[in-house]
Amino acid sequence: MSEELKEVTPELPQEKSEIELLKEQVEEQKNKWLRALADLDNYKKRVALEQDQFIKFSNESLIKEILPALDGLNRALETAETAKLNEGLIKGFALVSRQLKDALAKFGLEEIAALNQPYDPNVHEAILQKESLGPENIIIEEVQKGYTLHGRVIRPSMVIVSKKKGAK
Amino acid sequence: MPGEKIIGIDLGTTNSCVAVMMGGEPAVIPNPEGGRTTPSVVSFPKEGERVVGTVAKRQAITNPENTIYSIKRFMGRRFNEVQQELKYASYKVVEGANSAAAVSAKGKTYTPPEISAMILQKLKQSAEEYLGEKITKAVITVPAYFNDSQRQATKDAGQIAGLEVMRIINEPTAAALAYGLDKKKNEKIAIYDLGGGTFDISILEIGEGVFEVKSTNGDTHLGGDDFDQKIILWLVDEFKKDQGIDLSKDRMALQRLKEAAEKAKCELSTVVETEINLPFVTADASGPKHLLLKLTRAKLESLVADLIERSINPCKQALSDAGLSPQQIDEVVLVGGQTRMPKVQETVKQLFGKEPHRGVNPDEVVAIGAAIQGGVLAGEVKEMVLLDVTPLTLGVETLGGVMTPIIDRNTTIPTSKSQVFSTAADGQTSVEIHILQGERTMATDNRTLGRFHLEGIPPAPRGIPQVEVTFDIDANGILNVSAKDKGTNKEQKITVTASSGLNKDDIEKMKKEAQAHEAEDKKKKEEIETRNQADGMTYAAEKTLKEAGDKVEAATKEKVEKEITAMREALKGTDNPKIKAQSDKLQQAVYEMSAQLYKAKEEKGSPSESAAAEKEGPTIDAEYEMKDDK
Repeated sequence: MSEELKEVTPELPQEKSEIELLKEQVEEQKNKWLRALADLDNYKKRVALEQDQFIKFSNESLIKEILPALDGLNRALETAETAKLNEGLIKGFALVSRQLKDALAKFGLEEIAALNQPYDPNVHEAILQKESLGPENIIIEEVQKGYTLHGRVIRPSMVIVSKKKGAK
Repeated sequence: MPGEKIIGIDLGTTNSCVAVMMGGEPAVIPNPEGGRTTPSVVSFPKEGERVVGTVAKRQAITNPENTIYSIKRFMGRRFNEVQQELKYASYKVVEGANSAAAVSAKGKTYTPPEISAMILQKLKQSAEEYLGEKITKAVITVPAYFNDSQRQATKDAGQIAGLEVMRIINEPTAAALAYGLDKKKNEKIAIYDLGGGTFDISILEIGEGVFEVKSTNGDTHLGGDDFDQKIILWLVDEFKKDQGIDLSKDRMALQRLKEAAEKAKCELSTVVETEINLPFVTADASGPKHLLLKLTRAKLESLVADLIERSINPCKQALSDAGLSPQQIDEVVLVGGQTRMPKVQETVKQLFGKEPHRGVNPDEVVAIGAAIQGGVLAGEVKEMVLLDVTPLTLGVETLGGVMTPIIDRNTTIPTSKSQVFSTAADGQTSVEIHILQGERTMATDNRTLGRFHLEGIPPAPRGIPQVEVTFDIDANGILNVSAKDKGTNKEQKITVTASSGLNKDDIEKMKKEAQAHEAEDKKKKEEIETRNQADGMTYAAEKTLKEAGDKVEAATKEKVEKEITAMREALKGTDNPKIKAQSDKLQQAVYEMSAQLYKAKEEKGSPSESAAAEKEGPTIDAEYEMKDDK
C-alpha cells in the first residue's frame, strides 16, 4: 500500500503541471497569433500611408537635382538685370525661368517666402547675421531660394538675418 | 499579451538615429522632417520654445551661444576633465554641481544628461508618431570607452526623457549585432567607426553570445567634417589661382562651397570623377564669376590622405593593446558615413587583411543593432517564428509541355494559390495534373513532384470546362495539390512533401541551371506560345466557319479556308517564323470574315451576344489550357 502511494504522489503534480503547461502553450500561441495579426494590421496601415507619401514625394530627388539649375538661371537673370543687358533677351530668359517654375509647381513645388519675413528656422537656414537699423531677426537678404514639396521643406532658404546694431 | 516595443537609440556626437523591430525586422524610424538621422543639436531661441535637431542646426548662426551641439563630449565628465574641449564650443561650459561639467544657455544651467534628454525626447516622439503607440522603453548605445559615470549619465538622460533604459550597450557591440555576429563563436571582431566628428576603433571578442571589449582607441576630433573641409580649402585655392578672388572671406560663397564639397565627396564614393559647378559664385568689377572644377577620386584621395592616415595608428595601438595581430581578427565591421569612401574601405582591408562587412547603412547600423537588442529584451526576436519560404517555383505542365508557375519561388509559407485551367481538345474528359518544381520554362527540364488525373469531365468543346487547380503548402512545407472540375464538382488530390530529397546544393544547382538557360528557355517559351496561339486561332476560325460560314461572301470563306489549310501545314513543321507569319495571314482573313458577320447582323438589326463572343474567338487563352491527356 505504502509503496503504491509513493508512486502515485509524485505523479500527481506532474500531471497537473502538464495541463498547466499545455494551457501556457495555448496562451503563448494565442499571444503569438494576436501579435502577428496586430503586426500585419499595423504594417498594412503603414504601407498604405507610405505608399501615399511615396507617390507624393517620388519626384523629390529629381526636383532637388534640378533646383541648382533653377538657382543658376535666376542668378544669371539678376546679374543681367543689374548690368542692363539686352532687355528683350532678359525678358525671354525670365519667361523660360517661369516656365520651369510653373512646371515644377504642378508637382507640388512651392517657393518659401523669405525676404523681409521674420526669420523662422523651420524653413530658413541662417548663414550670416548682419547689423541693421531695422527690427531684429528679420531676413534682410536671400542668398538662395528655399522650396517646399507638398508642404514639406526639401531645401530651406539660405538667408542673412538682421541683428541690432551694437549687439554682440 | 503582446509586449511593448523597445526602441533602439544611437545617441551620437553629431547625429542620432532611432530604430525598432517591426515584424521581425529592424527598421529605422524617420523624423517628421523626413530625415533618417537627427542632428544632436538643441537650441534655446531668444523667444519661444526650445528646438531640437535639424531646425536647431539651421538657426545655430543666429544664436551661437544658446545652441548646444556635441553634448556627448561632456556626458558624465568633470569640468576639469574637459578643458581641451572648451575651444570647440561656441556655447558656455561651466562647472556644475559636484564639479561636473554643465552648459549654460539663456541664463540657465543645464547638465549634459538634461540636454541629451531633449534629443532623446525628440527621437521618442518620432517613434511614437511613426508607430502610433506609446513608447516608454529603450536601449541606448554608448562608445565602448565610456566609463561608469558616462554610462550612468546616459541612463539618466533616458530617464529624464521618460524612457526606461532597458540596457546600455556598446556601439561596436550594436554594430556587430546588426550583422548577426552574436551567433559566431570565439571570434575576434574589429569595428572601425569613422563618423561625422569622431573616430573609434574597438576590438571585441565574442564567446558564447557574449561580447567582450578587448581594447579601444580612436581620435576624438577626426571625422567626415574634416574631409569636407579639405575639399573646401582646395576649391578656395583653385579659385584663387584661377580668378584671383579669395572665397574664404565670402560667407555666402563659402556656404555654397560647403554644400558642393559634401555632395562631391558623396558622389565620388560611386563614380571616379565629378564636376563641381557653381555658376555666379561671386562677382567683381569685371562681372560675375563662376566656379567650374573637376574633382577626381584620385585627387580627393590625395587631399584627405593624411586624415585617413591618422586612423591607422589608433588601429595598430588597439590591436597591440588587445595582444592580437591583424591576422587574428576574424571579422571587420564598418560604421559611420565616412566609411562609404572606397579609399577608407581599402585602407581598413589592408590593415586587417580582411574584406569588411558591408550592406547595412553605416549611418544606421548602430541604431539597428540597438533595435535588435531591444527586440530580444522585449521577447520579440526570440518569439519570432522562423518563417520559411519555398526555395523553388511550383507549377503544373500545360499545353506544349510548358511549366506554368502556380507558387513562385521565395513565397513565404504557409500559402495557398489557385488557378483555373481548361481542356486543350474538344470532348476531352480527363486532364493530367503534372506537378513540377523548378525555374525552367519547359516541363521536362524541371523536377516532377507527382502527377494525377482528374477524370469524368463532361465532354465539351475545348476551352469550355473549368478545372480549378489549387496548390496549398502548410507550415511544415507539405504540398497539397487538388484539381476540381467546377462543372461537376469532381475533385482529385495528392499530397507531396515539397522539397523532399532536395538539399541546399540541389536547390542552388537548379537555380543556376535556370539562369544559365534563361535565354534559350525564353525562346522556347515564345515558340510554344506562338504555336499555341496559332493553334487556338485555327480552331476558332474553323468553328466560326462551321457556324456562320454561310453568312459570309464565298470569296472570303474560301480565303479563310485556304489560310486554315496553310496554317495546319505550317503547324506540322517547327519553323517558328513561318508559323508566326501564317498566323498573321490567318488573322487578317478572320478579321475580314468577322467584319462581314457584324455587318450582316447589323443589317438584320439584332446584334447579339454571340456575335461578340465569336469576335473574341481568335484570342482564346490557349496558354492556360491543360495538356491533352491522351
